[in-house]
Amino acid sequence: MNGITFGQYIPRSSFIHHLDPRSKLYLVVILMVAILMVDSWAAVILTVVYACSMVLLSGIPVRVYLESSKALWVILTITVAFQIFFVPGQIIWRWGIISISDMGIRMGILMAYRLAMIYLLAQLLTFTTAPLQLTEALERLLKPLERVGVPAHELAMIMTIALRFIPIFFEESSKITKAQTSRGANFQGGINSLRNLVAIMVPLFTRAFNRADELALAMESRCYQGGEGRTRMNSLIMTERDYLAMAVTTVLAIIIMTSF
Amino acid sequence: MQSSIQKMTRAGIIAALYVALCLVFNATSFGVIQFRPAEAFTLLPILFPEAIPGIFIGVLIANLFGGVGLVDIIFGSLISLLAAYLTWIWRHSFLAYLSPIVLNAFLVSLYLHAFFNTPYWYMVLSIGISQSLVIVLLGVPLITYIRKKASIPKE
Repeated sequence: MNGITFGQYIPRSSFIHHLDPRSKLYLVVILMVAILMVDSWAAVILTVVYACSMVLLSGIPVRVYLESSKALWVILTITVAFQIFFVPGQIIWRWGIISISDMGIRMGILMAYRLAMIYLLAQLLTFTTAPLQLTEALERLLKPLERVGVPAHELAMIMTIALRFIPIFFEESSKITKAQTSRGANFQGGINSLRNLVAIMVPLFTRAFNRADELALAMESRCYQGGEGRTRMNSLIMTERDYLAMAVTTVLAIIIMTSF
Repeated sequence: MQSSIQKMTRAGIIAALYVALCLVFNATSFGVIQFRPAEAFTLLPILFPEAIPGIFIGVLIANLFGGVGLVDIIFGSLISLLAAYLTWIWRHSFLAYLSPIVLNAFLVSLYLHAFFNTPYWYMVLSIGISQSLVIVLLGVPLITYIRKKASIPKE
């Protein structure tokens, strides 16, 4: 696949990698809530320092984080430009109808910070956690909701099947693209190329559906019968390290939410 | 006869297709408007109810790999779940085609505006145009094809 530019698992042996996926999900969610509530420079600096130390602890080069955040730039630019030019406040610079206010600059920096930090946290999670671990964590966390009718096991199994087949379909769609290009189809941008994508999606979809039915047959013939009583090869276990990380992060989040 | 296992594998396959297409056509854009051709699959609940969880999981994984972060992962996938469900409910009417366009345009822009203060109407317009084009140019031909092809068993 196209390198590491799409937020995927990078195996290492760091502190963050060895955390239980459930505690990582907890850390990321609670930090996200804290970041959305941040409204002072002290809290900004505190969370940036904390997130940067987590990045360093993950043992993944900073370059990798930067390289895979291209998707962020477009929305970041639009957002910051909008804040700077349209948020009212005390005007500090004016040129014709364009004006920049002090509040605009403040909001621009704050929103850029929020977007970048929340993006960084998602990167941290996907870089240090294998997709199947995440799936298992999700199943365990959703387990209590099974009583109210949320199909936790089924959702996790759908996610597992999806993760298993993504690389296969990725390769297949590249093959079909080449095959259709050799027949004269054009996928080089513009409205027409969007219409031409039908020529890729139809064969891709037909083949995929045949695979789904074959897979169902294979599972049925191996007596798969849902989540009831099913055991796992590697079960998730929380250790002291998880409790430590959760405690430190919770304290930090409480400080941010209450004192600034 | 369709088994529940078959429904589950189909849902998984639809999710995988969604993510794979997002990865392949990551940078498909037309001027300032970004397209996500995989959104054409949001019409699948018209024919297959099992596509509802499939699209939900697909959007979840795709946003995990390349969205604008956690807000997108949680809210983006929930909005797609709602849109897919409504598409299935309204499968016999033209509303089925509208729900993925309208819900994404108005609600995705809403949470982007709420959390990041992005210009609301600009996002509504941009997402609305790109979703409509993908649905009309890709989704409708795909559904028409699957309807005609008898070898794919429907609900």
